[in-house]
Amino acid sequence: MTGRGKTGKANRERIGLDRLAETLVEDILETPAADLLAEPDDEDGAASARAAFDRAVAASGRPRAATRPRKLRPALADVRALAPRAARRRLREIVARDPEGADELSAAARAGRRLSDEEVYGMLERFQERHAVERRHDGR
Amino acid sequence: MRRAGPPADNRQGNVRDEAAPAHRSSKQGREARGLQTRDTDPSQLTRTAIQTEIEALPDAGWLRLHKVARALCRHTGVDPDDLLQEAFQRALGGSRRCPRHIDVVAFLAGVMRSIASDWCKARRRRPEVSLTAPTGGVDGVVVRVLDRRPDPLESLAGEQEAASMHQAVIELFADDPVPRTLVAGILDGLRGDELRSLASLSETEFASKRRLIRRRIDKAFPKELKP
Repeated sequence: MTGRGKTGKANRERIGLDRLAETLVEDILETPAADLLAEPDDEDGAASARAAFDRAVAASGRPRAATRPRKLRPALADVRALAPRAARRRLREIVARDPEGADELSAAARAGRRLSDEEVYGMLERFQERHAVERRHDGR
Repeated sequence: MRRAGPPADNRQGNVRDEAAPAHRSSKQGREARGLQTRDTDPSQLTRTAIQTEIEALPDAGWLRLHKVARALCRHTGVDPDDLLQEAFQRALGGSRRCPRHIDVVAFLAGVMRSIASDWCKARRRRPEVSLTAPTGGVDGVVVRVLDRRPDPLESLAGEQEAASMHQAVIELFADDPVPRTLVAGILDGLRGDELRSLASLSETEFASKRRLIRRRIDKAFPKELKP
């Protein structure tokens, strides 16, 4: 086989590997969320992606939406006044900034179950209690 | 691993749409709009809107993005976290705009595909250019172009690497003829109905086998596609 022939074969093989990657991406995009979360994930991919996003936000100089005044967390007594969907959204925001909380939530998700409304409110309260303790310790 | 694949061809409809809307086909047109006016196109998410959408992604969305990055990087030597960060930066910076009718995860997957392809091509083809002034004066500036074309030994190593990755994937399914047939078909360039008919599978059966293939590759090659 000539050198050009070998290179052509190698190119075809690389194109084949690209096509395989494309097929895997198609499957990833079409896999239901619960199935995806139930798959083994030694790297904690969700946390890695969030960390990449945080670096991108820092590099772009744009403020995090979650830290804007309108997104400030309500006082502890107000947590249960949130609608269930708003409470879940609030929990996602907090978990995105709190790896410890993310671990707790990811563990529940990996177990293949959706958090109940009560669990969401409970986690929000625990986050806020911890936040209040940290503020007292920091003298803030 | 230093080899890189050729450009992805963006065949997936929902992602291809974001990559080449009609009004963005001209580079000149993109530049003419400028940063201040780009956010006013009502058919596309503003930079603030896409940031908000990304920040509100559930766990599964973040995980999906990371898995896409890993799938695109496994055979290219690109770091998945770097690829993700670059895709986020382009979305936040407005150089890649998400049409409102496109799911943000699918949009970011398309951006990653495009970046991975560009990086691989650049790694293979672009020579390294530097300006040096040995005498310290402006007049003495010399443009040095480092020839990055692979020498015959590098070419041979690259060919062997591509071949061994091919072989490793095929061997992974040695015990299961249907996935093995599908993988061989994909590597040979078959897609869609042509690929399904190769193994006489219904759409549901095909989706199931495709998932099996992905999960087995994920398990066997979590980071790099190496035998």
